[in-house]
Amino acid sequence: MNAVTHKRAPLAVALRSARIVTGLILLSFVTTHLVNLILGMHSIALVEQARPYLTGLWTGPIGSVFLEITLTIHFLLAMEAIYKRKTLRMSANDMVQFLAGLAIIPLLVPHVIGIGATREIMSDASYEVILKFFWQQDPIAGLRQVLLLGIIWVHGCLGLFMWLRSKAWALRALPWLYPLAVAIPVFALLGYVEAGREVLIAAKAAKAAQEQVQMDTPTGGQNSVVSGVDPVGVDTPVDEAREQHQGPAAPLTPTQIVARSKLETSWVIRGAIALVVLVLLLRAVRVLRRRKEQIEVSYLNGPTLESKTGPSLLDIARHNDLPHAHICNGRGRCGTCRVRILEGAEDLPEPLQLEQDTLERLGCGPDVRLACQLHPVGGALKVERLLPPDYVLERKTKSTREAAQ
Amino acid sequence: MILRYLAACFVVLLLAGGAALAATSQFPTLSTTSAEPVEIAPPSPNDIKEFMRLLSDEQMRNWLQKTALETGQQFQDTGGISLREQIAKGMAKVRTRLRELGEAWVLLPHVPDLLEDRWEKEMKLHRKVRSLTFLVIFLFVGAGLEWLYRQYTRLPLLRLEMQVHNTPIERARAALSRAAIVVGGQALFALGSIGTFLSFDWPPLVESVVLNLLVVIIVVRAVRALSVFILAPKVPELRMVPLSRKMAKHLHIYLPLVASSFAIAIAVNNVFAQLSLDTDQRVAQATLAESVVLGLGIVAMLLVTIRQSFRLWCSEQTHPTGPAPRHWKNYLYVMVGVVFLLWLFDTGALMWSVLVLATLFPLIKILNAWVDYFFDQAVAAIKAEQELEAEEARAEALAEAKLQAIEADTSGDEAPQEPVQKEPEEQQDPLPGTEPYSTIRLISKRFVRLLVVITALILLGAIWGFNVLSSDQPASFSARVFSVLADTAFVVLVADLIWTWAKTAIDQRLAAYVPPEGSEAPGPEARMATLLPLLRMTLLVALITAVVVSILSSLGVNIAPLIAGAGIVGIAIGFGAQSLVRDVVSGIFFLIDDAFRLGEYIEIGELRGTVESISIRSLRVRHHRGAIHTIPFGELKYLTNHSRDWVIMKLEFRVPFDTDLKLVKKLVKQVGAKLKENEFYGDSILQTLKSQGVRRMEEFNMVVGVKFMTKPGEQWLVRRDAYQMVRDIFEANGIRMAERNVKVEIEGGEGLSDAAKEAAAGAAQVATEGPKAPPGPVPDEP
Repeated sequence: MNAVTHKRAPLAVALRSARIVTGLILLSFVTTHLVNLILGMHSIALVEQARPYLTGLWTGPIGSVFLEITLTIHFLLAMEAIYKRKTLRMSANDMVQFLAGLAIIPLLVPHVIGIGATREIMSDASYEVILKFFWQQDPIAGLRQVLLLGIIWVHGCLGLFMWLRSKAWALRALPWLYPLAVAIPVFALLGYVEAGREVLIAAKAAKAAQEQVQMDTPTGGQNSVVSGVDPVGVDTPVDEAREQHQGPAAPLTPTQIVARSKLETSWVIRGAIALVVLVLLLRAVRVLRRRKEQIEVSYLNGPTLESKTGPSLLDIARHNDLPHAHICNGRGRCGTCRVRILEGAEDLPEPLQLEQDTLERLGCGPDVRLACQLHPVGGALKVERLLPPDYVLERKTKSTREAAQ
Repeated sequence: MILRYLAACFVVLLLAGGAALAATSQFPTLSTTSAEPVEIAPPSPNDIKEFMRLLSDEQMRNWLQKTALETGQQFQDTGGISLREQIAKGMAKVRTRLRELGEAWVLLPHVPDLLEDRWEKEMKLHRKVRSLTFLVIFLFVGAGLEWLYRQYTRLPLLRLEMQVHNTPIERARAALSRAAIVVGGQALFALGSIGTFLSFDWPPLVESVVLNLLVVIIVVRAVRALSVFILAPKVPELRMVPLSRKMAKHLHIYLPLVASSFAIAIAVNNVFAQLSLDTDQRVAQATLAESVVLGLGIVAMLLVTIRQSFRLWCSEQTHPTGPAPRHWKNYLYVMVGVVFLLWLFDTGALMWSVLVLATLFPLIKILNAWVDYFFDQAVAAIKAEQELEAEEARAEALAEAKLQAIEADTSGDEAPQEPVQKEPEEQQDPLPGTEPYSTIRLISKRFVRLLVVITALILLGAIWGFNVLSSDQPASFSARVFSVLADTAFVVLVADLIWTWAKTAIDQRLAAYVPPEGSEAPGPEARMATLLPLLRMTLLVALITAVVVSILSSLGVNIAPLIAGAGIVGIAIGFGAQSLVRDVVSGIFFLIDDAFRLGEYIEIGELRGTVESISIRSLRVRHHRGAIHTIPFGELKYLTNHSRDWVIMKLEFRVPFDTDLKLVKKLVKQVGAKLKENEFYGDSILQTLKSQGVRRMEEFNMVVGVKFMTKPGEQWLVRRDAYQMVRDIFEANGIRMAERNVKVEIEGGEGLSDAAKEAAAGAAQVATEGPKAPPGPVPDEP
């Protein structure tokens, strides 16, 4: 894994690495969870059997805490990245990831807290109980679950592939990873559907046999009082319980637990949203306070673009639909967006450590900068794109390596 | 400028068309095409026998009579609808519709409740949510497949977008490949989502809802793909229309927006139509109210789109364009309004006709402008290429000159030599004055127009329930009028297309023909200059005849007697003007044979001279002494042409027997070389003068033959100089031309006096020469 390699790396590099590391941890948990769900295509019993080896690895007492901490860190790091963004006019990829990340909060929190509550009530949240809840008692929660699955997976995969694409060692594996990235969620969804059908058939049979099947959990009917913040997920956490409240603290009745977990859910969601809004507001203030100047960037063998100060050179190119290589999507990792400054170099700000590291790694001269990290501060600038926009990493890394040797 | 604006119009028009499509989608009785007549084979003898047997059956006869009576009544009911009745019926329909609309208006506030009730009744909440869950899963599956596809096509797509294209053909090809890649992804999406959808069993209503939703998504995405293909908002290199980046982006937002609202409206209508199938009146009314509200929303959206597009369009113009854009904007407003009103009154066919007719004219204009744009691009590409070549040539020449100058400097040549700037050879346009593609451009425009009109005709026919393509006579009056109009329009347009093509092609050939100047020999194009106007005229007459005849035929006039009559008249005239016809026809064949051209020297029997003019009937030849012969082609049996390819001329010199033949040969060779060097006719000499040695021996001398070959017409000049130079050179080298001398030998006359000798010589001269006339001029000399 991408451990923090540079010992003397400054904060920016460390934060970037931390974001990836936490993201990878979360994604691997989601993957095992989904792989577990795939078994539902066979039967719920099989899902249950495999649980200790797949999902169970993460949901132990330590694992849960670890995951929650990781999630919180990841969220905070994302907030930091948003705060630092110079412009919100991002590329489609970034936009999808940003929105998906925001959507995850209200979808995920009820699930996490709900599972905790279920554990508290029933001592264990088995797939059978949960699936029954999702399919029979509260299909809205089931729908939310499906949305959550899709959105988390999209968010995770976008991040993963963006990271992998800037790594030469991963290029060979990428074409094989793509189908996997589609197959896992699709089969997980199919497993979910198949398990749901099993649940529904069983319920029908039970209904036919008995007048009433008594679930030992309260139904999702009395919900939706808690908050108006979240239209989808408020009512859910019926069956579910929570890990962090170490169970034996106080013997509560199931109804009390459910009420408490609902309250918690709503507060967590409210807190997260408030944080997001706060960060966006702070960012807006920061951007507004910045003095804006007119800049003019002319490209060698290309057009001349005009812009206000603020966005990076890469952003300016992207806003004007000028093709520009950027494999890592502006994270300063791959260095494929590097440009040679032909004129106007004297006004430019000095490269930060993150940019400097990448440039040194690539062995570039002092007149070369990363377009994604370079924020022009005004006046005229003339640059040359050093790599073609359809540049493929693999080819070049070999030759650069040879050149380096 | 106007082109861009027209393109904007076009897009908006398309939208309007879509609007109407959406609006009328709930009238299923739209395309009532007449049944095709089916060919039925005659019955076999066995069948007839069986039929006879059945007819003789009493029961059968009774039944037949009864049914015949019934169908007869029915036929009377439906068969004879007069125009007045049709109008009355239409009015009644509109009145009912108005009443319905009024009821729906009253019901409008309760519509949501009503529909919700109905909806609740149809499906329980849990089931609904579960269906939604399934829908999300399908979409996810489809999107996943497409994402996967995109990962593999990302790079080729990027490369396609980055290429620089010089010609519009290349650009169109790249844009098409790009569209194909994008559509491939969308097809996978559709396949994935609909495929998963089909693998489940659904209750009918849910199925309709989910399927409608999927279709909406797929259609909207397809529209977006189309918009990307045409507008290419992000890649100006692949844009198919002359729009700015801003305009393209604007339209790329509005177009799919409008399209998606249409799709959603249609889907909602479909679902509610299904809801109101088997329930009370109120749900039907609510459905109507709902569709009217949706229609209003769409009209509002269309108006906004038109307004915004025109505003952006006008703001982009650097110079004022006059009131034209405003007129077009108002035209579109009115069109949208009228179409919506017609839809509101449920006059489906009328609305469609208005829509088709209103779209026709702007559509033709826009497409013409678009074709122009395409060809402009192509021409610009060719010009750019030529300029590039010229530039390169110039640069090369410059470099060469510099190199020479450097060489001159280094070699120490102190001559004050300016580096001569060699002008590159002028790019010879094949057709000076005419731009490339001018013919094909015209024809493409006409062809596009023809296609649009035909499409419109077929559409109109389909709307009104006539089969335009069937050959049998339609029954009602209006249908006949329509069919006559359609036929006429079609025939005229086709004739016009052919005529435009022929005329531009012929005119271009004629314009390219440069008549020979002075003594220059005419090329093979010369006869084209004669034939083509004739051909053009014939074609025009033939086309007009064909058009008139087919219009008459579609009017119901029986044209067979006409044609037969024309045939008889033709034969009569043919007999009367037999020789004229013979002249014309043989003239055409002589011209096709390329027997003679303008300016050539020909010989016809006794007559000879230069061809001065060629008409349809006759040939005019000027003799070299000025007389003009007019020869009808019919009189020509054969013809000798003296002006083709080459001419051999043979000359003879008489030299005494004691001449040194080797010297003669050498001298003739020298003369030949000198002739070849002549600046005026040297190039025309194909084989220069050379000696052929002694051709024959005569009584008192040898005949030395020489010959040369020149281009036709040059031989006389060469011969003149050849004679002169040979004589001079012979004299300079002491070769005498043999003269006729009579040696008078008088036996035993050694002692004669001079006077007696002279007398004898005179007597001998008279005896040898006799009273002979000097030879006339050589006849074959102009």
